Amino acid sequence: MERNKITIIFIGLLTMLPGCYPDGPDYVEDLDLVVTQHDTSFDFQTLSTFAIPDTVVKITGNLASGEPIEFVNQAYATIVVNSIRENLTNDGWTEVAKNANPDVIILPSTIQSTTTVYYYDYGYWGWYYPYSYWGWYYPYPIYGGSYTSGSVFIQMTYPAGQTASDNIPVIWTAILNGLLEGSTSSIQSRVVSGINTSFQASPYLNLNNE
Amino acid sequence: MKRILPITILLCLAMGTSLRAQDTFGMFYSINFTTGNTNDFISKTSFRGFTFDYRHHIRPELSVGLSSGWYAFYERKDNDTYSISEEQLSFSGIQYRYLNSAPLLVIVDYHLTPEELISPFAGLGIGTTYNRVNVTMGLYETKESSWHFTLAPEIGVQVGRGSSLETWGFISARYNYNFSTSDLDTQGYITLNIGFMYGI
Repeated sequence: MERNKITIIFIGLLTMLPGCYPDGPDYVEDLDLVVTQHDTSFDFQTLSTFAIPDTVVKITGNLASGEPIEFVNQAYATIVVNSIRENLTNDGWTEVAKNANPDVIILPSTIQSTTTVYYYDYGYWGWYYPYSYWGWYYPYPIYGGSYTSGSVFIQMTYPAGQTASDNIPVIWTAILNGLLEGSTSSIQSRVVSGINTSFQASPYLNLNNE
Repeated sequence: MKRILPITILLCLAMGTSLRAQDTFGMFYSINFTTGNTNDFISKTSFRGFTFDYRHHIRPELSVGLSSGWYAFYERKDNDTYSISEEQLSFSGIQYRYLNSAPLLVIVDYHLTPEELISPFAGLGIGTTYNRVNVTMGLYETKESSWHFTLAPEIGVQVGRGSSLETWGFISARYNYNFSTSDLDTQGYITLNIGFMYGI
């Protein structure tokens, strides 16, 4: 009798386990990630001017020679470019035309990908088909849905002394990654927030610190 | 780890051969407080955990047994920036940190007043602990897991053991010290166990 009681409590505890698993992200923006990388040997304080295009390149795969480049919807591009421009200006940089020998050239681009998720939940088939105790024998994939994630890349290139045949050195890169879910305005707001974060995480870009 | 597990299994088998009336089985709800490195990683107290103990009394005041359990630690770190590789790389975002810890210990306890209604005891657990650390940031996750050599001193009180009851109360505090491995640093936490013991 006593052993039966223990067994019941034991099974009860086991069934409660999944409910004990800790929480995770609740909102789309909780999954936003900003990564920056820079050349630690480079002295950014020697720089002062930048140039930036008004468009944002859409990366669609390997581009064959001569193929046209795709660009991001101009409404998005303007927000991205203006946000970068504002951050650099606040950090003491001066914008110049691309042919006015800028110290750095900023190249923004984006990429997006869709991931499809399959999962199996015992609740779908378990316990009633084909026999009440057979449910878990079928690792039957159930379509769970898909999500689209997107990234914005910001590259700061240093063109001084380079010729057209050289690979232009990238001295600073920022990558914003997150889910492309939600309204247009909320995505735009998250992109701006991500760009701001990338500059806050890169204090060496602030020329006002000199 | 290769040495710890066979020894633990052998001791399990040796003790499983003679179940007597003095044997007890305990089930406890476990609250865990992180210490040291573990506290630097997750400072929040864990309220998700349970422990199972089996004790075999060689003498009324001396018992050996096994203890195992599962403790889940979790903390959401607010938006922050983390730098690595001599600050060449930075990551900014919300971090979700998880530690799942499952000890498997051989326990030896000395009971001060085994025949009394209130029976304090002190003991030591030796064995291994499986720790799995997950960090989620953005859409990405890093995982690291390791088996640690573990020492776990414990003090506690059994209430009602000296009576004719078949079930009695149990409360204890156990310090789980998991020695560092090549994959994970030293981990530590104090487990507060509250529950019941059954004579079997």
